[in-house]
Amino acid sequence: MKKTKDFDILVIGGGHAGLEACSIAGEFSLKTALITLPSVPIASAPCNPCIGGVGKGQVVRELDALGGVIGKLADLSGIQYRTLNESKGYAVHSTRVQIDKKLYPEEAEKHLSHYPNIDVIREKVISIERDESFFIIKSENQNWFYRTKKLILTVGTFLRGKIHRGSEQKEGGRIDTEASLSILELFKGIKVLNHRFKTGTPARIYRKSVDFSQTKEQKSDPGVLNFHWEFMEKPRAIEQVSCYITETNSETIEIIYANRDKSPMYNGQINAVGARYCPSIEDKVFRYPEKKTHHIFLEPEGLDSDTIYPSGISSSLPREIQENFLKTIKGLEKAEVESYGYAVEYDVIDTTSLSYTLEHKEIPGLYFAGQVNGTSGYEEAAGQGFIAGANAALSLLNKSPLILSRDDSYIGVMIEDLVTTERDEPYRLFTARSENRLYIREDNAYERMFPYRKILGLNKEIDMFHMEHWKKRRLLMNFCSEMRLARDHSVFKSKIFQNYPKFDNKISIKELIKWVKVDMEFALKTVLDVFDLSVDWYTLKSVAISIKYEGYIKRAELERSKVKNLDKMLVDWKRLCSSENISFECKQRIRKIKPETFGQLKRIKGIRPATLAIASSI
Amino acid sequence: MVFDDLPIVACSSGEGSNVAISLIRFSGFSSMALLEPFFRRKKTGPIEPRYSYFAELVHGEEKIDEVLFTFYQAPYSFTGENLLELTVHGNHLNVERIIKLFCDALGFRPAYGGEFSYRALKNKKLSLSQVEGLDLFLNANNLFSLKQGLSLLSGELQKEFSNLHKNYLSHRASVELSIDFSEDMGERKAQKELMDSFLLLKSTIFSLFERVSNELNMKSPEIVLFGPPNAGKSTFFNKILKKNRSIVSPERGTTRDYISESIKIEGNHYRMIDTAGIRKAKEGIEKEGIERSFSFLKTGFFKILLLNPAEDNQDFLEKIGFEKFDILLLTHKDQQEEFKDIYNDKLGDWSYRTNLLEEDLNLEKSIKDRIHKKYLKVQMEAPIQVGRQKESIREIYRSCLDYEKIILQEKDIAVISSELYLLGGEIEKLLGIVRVDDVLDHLFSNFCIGK
Repeated sequence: MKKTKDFDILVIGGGHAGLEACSIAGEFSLKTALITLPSVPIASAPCNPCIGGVGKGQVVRELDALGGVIGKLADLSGIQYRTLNESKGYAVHSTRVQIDKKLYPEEAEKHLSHYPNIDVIREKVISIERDESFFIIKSENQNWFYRTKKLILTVGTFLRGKIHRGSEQKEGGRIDTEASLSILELFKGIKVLNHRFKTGTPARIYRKSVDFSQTKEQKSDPGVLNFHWEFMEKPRAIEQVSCYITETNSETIEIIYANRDKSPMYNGQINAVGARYCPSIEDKVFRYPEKKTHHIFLEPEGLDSDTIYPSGISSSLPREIQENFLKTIKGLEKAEVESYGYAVEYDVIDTTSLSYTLEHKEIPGLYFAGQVNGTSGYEEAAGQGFIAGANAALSLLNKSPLILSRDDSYIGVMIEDLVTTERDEPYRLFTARSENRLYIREDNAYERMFPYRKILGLNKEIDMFHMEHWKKRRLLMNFCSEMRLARDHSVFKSKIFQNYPKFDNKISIKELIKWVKVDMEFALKTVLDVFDLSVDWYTLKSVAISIKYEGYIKRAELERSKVKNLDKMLVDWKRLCSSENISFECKQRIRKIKPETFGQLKRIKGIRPATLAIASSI
Repeated sequence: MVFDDLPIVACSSGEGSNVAISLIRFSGFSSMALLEPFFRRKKTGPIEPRYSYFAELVHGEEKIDEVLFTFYQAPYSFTGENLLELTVHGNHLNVERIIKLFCDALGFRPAYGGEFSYRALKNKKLSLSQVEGLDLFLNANNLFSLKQGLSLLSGELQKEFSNLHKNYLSHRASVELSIDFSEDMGERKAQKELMDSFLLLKSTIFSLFERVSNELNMKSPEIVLFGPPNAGKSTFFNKILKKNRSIVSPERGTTRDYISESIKIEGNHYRMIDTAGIRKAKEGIEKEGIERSFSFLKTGFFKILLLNPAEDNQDFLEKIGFEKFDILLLTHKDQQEEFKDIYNDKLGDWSYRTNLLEEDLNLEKSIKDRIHKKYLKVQMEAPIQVGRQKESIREIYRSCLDYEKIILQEKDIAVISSELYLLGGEIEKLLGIVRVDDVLDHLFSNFCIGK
């Protein structure tokens, strides 16, 4: 006879979503469990060994400011730091960190072990049942079954996962583990999308077999701020290394082109949708045959690791063909393959059946987060995991939910996109998905997340940090708008300001800083030095950048408020569908989503301007 | 303008005078069965949509008229609702009596001006630009407006606007590309994509702008006679019209206000306008006349400057500055040579000399030819005539110029993108992706019942 173990919150799946979910649940001192497959390390990186990127770096900083773990783990295992889009303006600066693939999961496990109220259970789940207000989870364990009030599913690509490499096929979500059950078997009545999603990964190459002298080196940038708030003014945790850039050539392309019939994506073996933004090398070749050179980033998988991740050439071609095309690439002529690339196809749940807390609308207490929701990327998964975990906890404690607005966070953008529209390809965050890019930046993540952190109602060290940062920021901001300088002030003697045009009266420091246009943080620092004031670098930078964008943000807000009013306008979707002037495809999409407002209608993918014009006139 | 959903009725063929037949339209009634008892047909049987039936219009036992009616079933009608077209005898008393009958008996309400078209728009039988085209079509005084009205009705211009929107989206995409994917794509390629797509967008906007940049009123194009007092404007006006319409007098300033007459050249209708003479006004009314004559210079289609070389025109020429004219007409044939140089640089590329007091067989023909040539030329350029579209395209153009400055100077792509968003807003307005209520108010208050 099996005995019962009771939990408040139970998370199935120990990836990046699952880790954040149970970590934040743990913060609330609730009895929490994480069930994950025995053979897989927690929060491992089965694909790119990196955290962050355009749009994603912002998410990592948002999570860090909310009390998530991804930023801290990335810093503890970070081996190369870069700021992407560095030349393109502060608002689109994004941090990306290469991580040590072995160290990261170790740090993750260490982190969880600090919580006495989190049980990590390494077992394979066999069944999930509902019993009034509980979920009952049975695993292969002979002695126990588990009962929980809230259940969070973060099962990644394991729902009817199927792996392809050439004609080889295997059930499973990852090459090194076994498959999970179909969601339909676990729960009747949960809608999965009709189409399956596909993702893929490239071969791994032995580091010693690469000739780096033929590639371009990309060093770690010491100027990039660490992700985690406690490490803000600290040096890197571990040694830094370089990445290397090479590219494909016409010979590479020819080999792939000649083997179309052996590609599972192109010979019909895989019938799933891959992401257009993260194509396999086969996709690149067959879709754009005229393009011969594609960048390849050679990323070390760790300090002690003997493998390289070649980013940009994920492939599900047979082993020998992968080997052949790799050897045409500069620097990889003698490449030895450690493991070959493959593609996975998997089931994805219909996220329009979830609410903004990621709780299932029809099955209270059940939450979904991560790749099972059709997203790609560790950062996206972590963001959802945090939201699901925090809301499961808040709901148990009868507190108001944590819902991030799309106006002030990429996490908010992502969740609204997921729950309001059906995905037809894997979802990744881009800065383009936000309407408020000038405001949702990395440098002001603390300012943006402060109010949300308050909603959690936890009184921890990070909350002190927030309070302090907030006060400093406000002080500095007030100083910049209220302190007014005459032209003969000694500030104007410094090199950066000496060409400032003559003026009568006085101007504020704000006006002075705005005039500088580039390197505003340096300008502000110069002023503060004159006044003999010192502020930490990230507060200073955040204030300087906020001053730069102030005017633009105000104007954009005004524009958006117009759009928002229009977005709130109610639309009658039934009537839209009866209109003769709307295309059949548009009508189908409208019927599926049943939009109630113009804003929802607008966000449905593939809705044509003509349809919007018609809707706005009804 | 707030409309209800009541069934409406109106005489569509014009009211007021007695004509042979009139067309009354009914729209928005729930079923033809309601109206059927009013029609006594020789053969009974179901009323098929889109067939014409001859019948006696009756109210109980009383016969009211002999009529022809056609029923169009929703949604296959002009308004998208159940629609009945009724052809009756055109005496206006008869028409009024019939309309009143249906209002009293079946709760129809007389339609507001433009309401049939409004319902067609509301029920998506017409797009906004089609309704605007209909307005142009119905109120066209010349073949040109008729043609553009028809082109709007068939949605052709809408296609060009959609193309503009497409080019905007592709530029917008290239901006996003250079932010989110410049690493994958390569910085140089992303930058090239950005500029190429901008140039395409800009050229689309500029070519649309050309079509609205003149202020010509092509709905009823005006021929404007302009000149100092006593230059002979009224004499010329009368000569062309062969009518004694203006008060002609040798005393300066006799023509106090502009006077206009309709004139037909090669099948097109124009309004010929004789403006007040310009000189230092002593009376209020004359001053106003002068202002108005200047305003005609802005909107006029064909501008004729008349000068009498015998007078001292120096003051006058300074006053008109650099206005462009289509013809310089020197109204006294003698003493021509010495004046040529004074005026040539400033005034048009074509001048004609005539003595208005003498017979000049060539004068009328030359000027008419010139007017028609210009008409054909403008027609080739296909200017956009609907006021809302014109204003919207001008806004897009202005916004595009602002944006161009930013994209060339600003290094911060997020700022560029935010500026582009403003331009996008203007483009979406043109396509009608806005609440159109206020547009509709403007539109429907300016024109009268539809097709």
